[in-house]
Amino acid sequence: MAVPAIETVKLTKVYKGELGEKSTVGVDALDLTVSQGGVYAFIGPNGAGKTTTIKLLLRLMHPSAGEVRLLGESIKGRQALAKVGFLPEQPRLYGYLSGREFLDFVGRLFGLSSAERRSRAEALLERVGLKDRAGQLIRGYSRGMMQRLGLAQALMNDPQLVILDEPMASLDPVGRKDFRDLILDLKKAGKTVFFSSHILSDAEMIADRVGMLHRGRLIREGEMADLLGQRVEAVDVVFEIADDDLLALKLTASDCVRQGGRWLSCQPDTASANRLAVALINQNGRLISMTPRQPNLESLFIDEIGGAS
Amino acid sequence: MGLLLLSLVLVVAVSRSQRAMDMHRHITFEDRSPQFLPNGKALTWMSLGHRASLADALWIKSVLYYGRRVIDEDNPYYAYQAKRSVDDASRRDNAHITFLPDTVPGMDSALLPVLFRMGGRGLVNDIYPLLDRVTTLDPHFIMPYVFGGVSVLMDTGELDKAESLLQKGRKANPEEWRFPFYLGWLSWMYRGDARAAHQLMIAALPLKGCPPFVADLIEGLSGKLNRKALTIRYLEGMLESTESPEIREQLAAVVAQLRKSE
Amino acid sequence: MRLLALVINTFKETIRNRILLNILVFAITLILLSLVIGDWSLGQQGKVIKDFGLSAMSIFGLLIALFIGLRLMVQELEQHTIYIIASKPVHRWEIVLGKFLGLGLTLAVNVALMTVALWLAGMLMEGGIDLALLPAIVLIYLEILIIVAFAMFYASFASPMMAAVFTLGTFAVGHLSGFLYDYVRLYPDRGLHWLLRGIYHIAPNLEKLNLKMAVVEGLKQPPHQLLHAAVYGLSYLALILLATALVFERKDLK
Repeated sequence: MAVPAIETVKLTKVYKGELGEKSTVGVDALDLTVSQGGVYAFIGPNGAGKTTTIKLLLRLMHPSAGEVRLLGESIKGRQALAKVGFLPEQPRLYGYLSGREFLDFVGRLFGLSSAERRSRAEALLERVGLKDRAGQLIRGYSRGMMQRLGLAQALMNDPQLVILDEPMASLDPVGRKDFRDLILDLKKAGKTVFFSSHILSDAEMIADRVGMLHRGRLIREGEMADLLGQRVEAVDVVFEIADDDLLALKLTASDCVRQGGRWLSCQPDTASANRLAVALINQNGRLISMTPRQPNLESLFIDEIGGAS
Repeated sequence: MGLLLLSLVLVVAVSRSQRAMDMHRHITFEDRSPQFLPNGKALTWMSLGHRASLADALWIKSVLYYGRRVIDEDNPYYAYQAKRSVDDASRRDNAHITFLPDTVPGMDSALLPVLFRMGGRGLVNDIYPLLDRVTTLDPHFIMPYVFGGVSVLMDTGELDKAESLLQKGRKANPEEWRFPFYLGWLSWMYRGDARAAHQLMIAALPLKGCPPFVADLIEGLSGKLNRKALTIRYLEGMLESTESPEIREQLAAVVAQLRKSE
Repeated sequence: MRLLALVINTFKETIRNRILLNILVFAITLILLSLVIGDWSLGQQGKVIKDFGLSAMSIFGLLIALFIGLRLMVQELEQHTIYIIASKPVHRWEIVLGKFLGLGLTLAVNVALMTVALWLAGMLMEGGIDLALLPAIVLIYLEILIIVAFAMFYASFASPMMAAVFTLGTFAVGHLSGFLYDYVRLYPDRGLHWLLRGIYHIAPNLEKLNLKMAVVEGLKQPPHQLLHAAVYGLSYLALILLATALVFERKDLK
């Protein structure tokens, strides 16, 4: 069995209160296990502790209690970070360097040889679409360019584990698509991608596994397919029927809405939708479409939050 | 358009008022007295490690202070002050002057313009406090001691202050020949004490850098050369050993004048 | 090597900072000053230029140490550029040392260029290069490095404003500690004497690194005095850097 990419045991972070204020718990005895390969989405509302957790994983902050292991190695030694790539939220990079110089600097920090640094930097600049701006000082980069360069630096060491904090938060739709594609490429290359986000639709599109964080605790975790599959979702039925026959369908006024020449009815589950369909046919109505409402992460999330608080 | 006009008016106002201020400057401009400067020891600490530079800055200030008041004859303010001070014959006003020519035995009247110009009497009351601070800040800076002990003395006659400054210098720089030398010179010229002068100059002789003419002076003192001849020998010796062209010029002029009156 | 990469990075950052323009200001002022100062100092311009030159070197260096030294830490922490480096397999102490050495390198270039300017001015006036100034210049450089170290130390745990105040305060106390020592010796019965003694021993005794007056007047320094001063300065510097590394190691990068 391969070692988990990320493993935390009772990871805790308590912030001491300032001058008489109570201390607050940022991360509460978190037991997180992320296996290698695939994309893991770490979601939660703002203030849930996602960024704090990520900082604890990378030794940017010191835990109050608990352990962290990345790719089997304890975070206490610096070497655990050698195979990890990290892109912080809204990264700020050194304005006085050019894009290429910056990647070269990062490469040196990893101890790469000058040939390796050069070839990797060029390849990554090409991949993130910054090749023709690589000689420009970072000072002049736009938000999107910095994000892309940030991803490039995260991949300089060809990491096995890539950790991204809100990678798509400040990007436009085209940028978001690029990023999603990049993440999927990383997955195809066999890497583990761990990212946090509060944009649930993005998470839904690319994640294999989801962990939901709320108030420093993991309240729900599982495969995306399983989580969403469990949810019972409503079905929208669109049909045509003569006004006189409508009553016979035994639909209450709140059940249907007129849309042009058609009716839309929202049925609570598949069974009742099927019953409506049968009734329609018996009444000489015409069934146009039966569309299950897409189960989505957002509604699941809202439910969980509601339940947890 | 309006902005252009406004800027033009402002420029004119600025230049006009500047010119007006300049015209009145040398009449109303008063050197701020250095009496509010903290004492030397305090300044040493306040300089936070830059005592030599502070000493230099105060030295420059002293020179400019002195020059403006004593040498700058075109300045109407100071000319007025100087006139007042020279006309005032009352001893009470000049009580701080501790040298008076008639108290020195054997004083030659020809030497008076050299030794006792008195042009600065009452004008440079702050020079000794300034020089005191300079020398406390930088005790090995020789020029201020010599300036205060010799040049200033000639313009103000404050013998006690001159001597105490030179003695301060001697204490801080026991290897410097100039201090016993000038103290000796002052003893003889201004106090008529040939024996003390002889002793001091002998102390100066073995010190590093002491020029050979000092030996001649000592010989002159023991042989009791007359005052004027000794002064000429002294000035010629100084002429030889000075590098500064301005000072050489002045010394040569004085020597020429003295020779003429022989 | 990682440390070298950090040093070079900080060197690039600080040297591209246009602070080297201050050298131009220094050089031009020095040369202009040397033209007029002869008259104003009754022929003492040699001494005056050297005194002013050394003082200016020290002051410029300290201003750079204060502003840029503080900025090195403060900017990284406030702008969160630190996240990128600190999440690499790099020790926190390497980050501190790398920044310090990088700025130290820039300052060395600064001081070297100013020394050349001073020698040029000296040549214009006196026709010679005064090599005797070198020991004072070396110790000036050491003093500047100590202030940089303090600035980084304070910046690693205090707000930028407080760090600036503390650094300036340390500089002042560093030069006044001799005064404290004298005071303690002269008035052993006055209160707070243990406090002043304590301050004297803890604070950096920057006056011991001050040879400016001595070299300009050509006073001979006993050679072991110079060595002791250098050892004192370097050991003190190492202590402060160590303390900074320790604080930075434990720091949570929020």
